[in-house]
Amino acid sequence: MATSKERDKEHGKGHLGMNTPPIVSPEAWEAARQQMLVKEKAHMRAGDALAAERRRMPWMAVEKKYQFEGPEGKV
Amino acid sequence: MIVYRAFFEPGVFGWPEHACRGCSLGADQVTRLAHVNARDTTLAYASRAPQKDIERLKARMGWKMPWYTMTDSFDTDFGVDEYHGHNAFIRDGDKVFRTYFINWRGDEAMGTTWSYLDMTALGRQEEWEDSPEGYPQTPPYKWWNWHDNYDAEASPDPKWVEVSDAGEATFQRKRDAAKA
Repeated sequence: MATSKERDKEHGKGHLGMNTPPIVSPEAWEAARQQMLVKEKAHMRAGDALAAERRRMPWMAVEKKYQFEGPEGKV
Repeated sequence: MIVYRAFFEPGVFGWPEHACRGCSLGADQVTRLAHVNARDTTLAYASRAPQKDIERLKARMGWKMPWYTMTDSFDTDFGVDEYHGHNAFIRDGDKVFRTYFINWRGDEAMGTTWSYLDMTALGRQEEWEDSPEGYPQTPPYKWWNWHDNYDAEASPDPKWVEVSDAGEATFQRKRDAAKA
């Protein structure tokens, strides 16, 4: 395993001391973000679909009467 | 209604000064509940600690959510006797139903208005959602209000409806232009 000093020399980057991703231009960065955005949107829509399925989960009847103590006494 | 079981009682690390560290981290990210309440949904915390300890803890940590003391088998009956979790219930007249349960890493994501509404049986109650026929739904954005203004303004201010409609129209135009 390379020491952080050797890595700095190799990549010409800062002093974070870890293997960081490539440093790119604003255009290349935006292109990379747009690629990720496709996946982010798919992830968001999958979340919406999961929530829609949740709303179709069966309901379970709660038969017992539970008692809690609140600031104003029993509820 | 959503009930979060938080560990705050004798035997839990931190007692009696503090609740469990994970539960405390979670409590720190609980949003202002006015927005959730506006969708006829409430969030409550529940622990075994007596009310006087809960009151002291809330004051110390700056927490505002309703927080009850469990007195019976609620925890064992709903899977939260050994580990924290969020149970969602819905009331229909005098009947109560358990509709969902989230725990473990699912708990980590809880705290926003949307995380709470999304786990309920009725969801956000917005028109775009794919919900069963007849579920209560109103247009998105329109029901949003300032947290201190929900009580004063029971139905959406027409001016706000106008502003949000204009915002949506602009957004739609941009989307259409991007597609063209």
